[in-house]
Amino acid sequence: MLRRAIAALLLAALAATATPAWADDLARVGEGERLPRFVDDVGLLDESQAATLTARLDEVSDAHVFDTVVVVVEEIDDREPRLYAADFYEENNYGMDAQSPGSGAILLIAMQTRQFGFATTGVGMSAFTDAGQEYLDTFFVPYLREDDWYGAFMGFANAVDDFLNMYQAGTPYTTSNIPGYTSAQQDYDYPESSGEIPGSGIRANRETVTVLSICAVIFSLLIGFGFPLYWRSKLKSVKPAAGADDYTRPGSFQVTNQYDNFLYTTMRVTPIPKSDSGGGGSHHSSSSSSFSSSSGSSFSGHSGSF
Amino acid sequence: MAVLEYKCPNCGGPISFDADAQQMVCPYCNSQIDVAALKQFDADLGQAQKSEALDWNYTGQDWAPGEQEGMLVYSCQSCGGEIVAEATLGATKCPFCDNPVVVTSQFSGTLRPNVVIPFKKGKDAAMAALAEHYQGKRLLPKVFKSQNHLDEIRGVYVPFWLFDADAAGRFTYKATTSRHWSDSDNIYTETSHYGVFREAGMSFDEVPADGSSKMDDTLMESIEPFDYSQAVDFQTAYLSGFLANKYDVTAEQMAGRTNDRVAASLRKAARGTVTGYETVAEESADIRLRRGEIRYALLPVWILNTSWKGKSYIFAMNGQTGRFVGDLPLDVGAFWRWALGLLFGAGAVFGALIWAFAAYSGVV
Repeated sequence: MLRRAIAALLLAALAATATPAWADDLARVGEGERLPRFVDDVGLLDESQAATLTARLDEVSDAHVFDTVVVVVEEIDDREPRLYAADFYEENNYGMDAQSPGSGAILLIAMQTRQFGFATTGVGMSAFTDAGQEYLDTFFVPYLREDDWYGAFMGFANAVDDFLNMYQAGTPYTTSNIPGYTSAQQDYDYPESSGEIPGSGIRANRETVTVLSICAVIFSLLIGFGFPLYWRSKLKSVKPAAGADDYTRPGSFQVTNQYDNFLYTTMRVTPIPKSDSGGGGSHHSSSSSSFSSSSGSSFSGHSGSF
Repeated sequence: MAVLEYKCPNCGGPISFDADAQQMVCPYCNSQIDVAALKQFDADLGQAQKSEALDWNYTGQDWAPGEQEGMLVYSCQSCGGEIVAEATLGATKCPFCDNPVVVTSQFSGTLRPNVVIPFKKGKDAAMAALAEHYQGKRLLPKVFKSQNHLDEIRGVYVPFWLFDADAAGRFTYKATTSRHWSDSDNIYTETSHYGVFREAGMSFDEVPADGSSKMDDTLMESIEPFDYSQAVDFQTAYLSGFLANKYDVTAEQMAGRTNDRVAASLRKAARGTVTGYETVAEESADIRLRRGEIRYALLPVWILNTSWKGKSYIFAMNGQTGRFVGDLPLDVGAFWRWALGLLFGAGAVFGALIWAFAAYSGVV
């Protein structure tokens, strides 16, 4: 009997430790209260940028009745980033329509591990198809990699606006209408210039300006020092002879013995860098990125790193 | 000391070799005498003046024993002035009467050069070459051309050793080729490694090596090559009017440098036969040299000395081909002015273009 009691206690202890420690731990506001749509625990943006971004997020949210949220945290627990994002969204009462949780999308950035999680619910689960979510990454991941936080978040806000416009027009982004999309995820070409998409054209041009600026610096240095160094070399004309080529007896060079032996072969395999977006499984199925939040609500989303 | 001056057969005045006319020219009566025709005179005059020289040499006070080591003491056959010069001097002009003098004893017996290449370029050509040498040098201090002046310009027959050599070598190389392909996951690079062997040989004729310690070896190599097809049997007449030195660096002493040059050429030629590879690295080289005939030659060189800000600058011109070399000073201030000007100028142009593009595309 005592043994059974001890076993029961041990099982209870084990069950207690196995219970997710994060249940209901992300709530920052009480019932009926709301957080701003831009939450920045780290302070990535200055006051002016934060105000502009918040205004843009509010604008997109109000226009589509679709909460568009960007959250920056220092670190996350061992939850998958997209699950962490979904829990944060749900526990802080985001969502604008009558659904539960209300429709919306959240982009959550964990700075310590440089991970991101995207989660959407309600109409977002239809507006952001699996292929569409791959496409969505192109609007903010490149900026995250360059630590251009403002560009990344504004790109995300603009992209959400565009995705919902497309959805409301009855043509959500799928494999058939995404510019540059190929069937295999790894072959997806990030569009360098797709001026029709808000944000992407500016992003492409910004990248072009960056590349041009780097080239300009290199060319300026080459011109600035190349010519003077060449002119300086013209001042020196006394050099030792490299050989005696001028005194070779014509026709005297002869190769008397030669062979070329194959020895061995080596192989080097270099992996092709892939997009880190993932966590939602295959992107070829419209339902593969679906998942449930800790409370059991339905979300769609994916995780990645930058 | 056997000293020779060439006299004009017409007026008896001292004559010298003229690079432009390629003949002996008398500055007094403008007579031009063929060098070959003068060859016989050379011997006759040498014999004739030998006795006179003996008389002159016994005049004055004798040098103390050992005092003449490293010195050449001779008496001018025209004015009788006693001249002290370096022991290797073979031809010069008398500092008292400016008559050209050839010290024939410097080039007699085993010291006699095999060939000489007569001057083809004269003093005026050397001066013109110097002026041209200054042209187009943006970083040459502007005041260098105006402030510096030629301290000396000398036409010198420089002693050279001419080496014939056969070189043979065995070379091994490591070489690679590679091919690339990819699939959706990886880029594959397959590198094939080869061991390559070459055994080759080649011959060299008359590789020159400076036989004068007074001439900088690098300076002399810089004015190469010389065209030996224009070389003629040595005659002292060609030295008249120019400076000349006998060698003071032996052929053995210069053999090492010549070996290096010959080996470098063979190595380069052998490497040129290893083709069809992406990378080639020499693993080993076993070069054997068989030295052939060594000849002694006097080759024509114009030496120009100038000084600026207390530093000497030496220029040299190949007296046969006109090839002119000589390091020039750098205007450091001009270097940085040009560098920064071009840097900021190019930066401003590029920056304006990029800004225009950024403004046009809505980035700014």
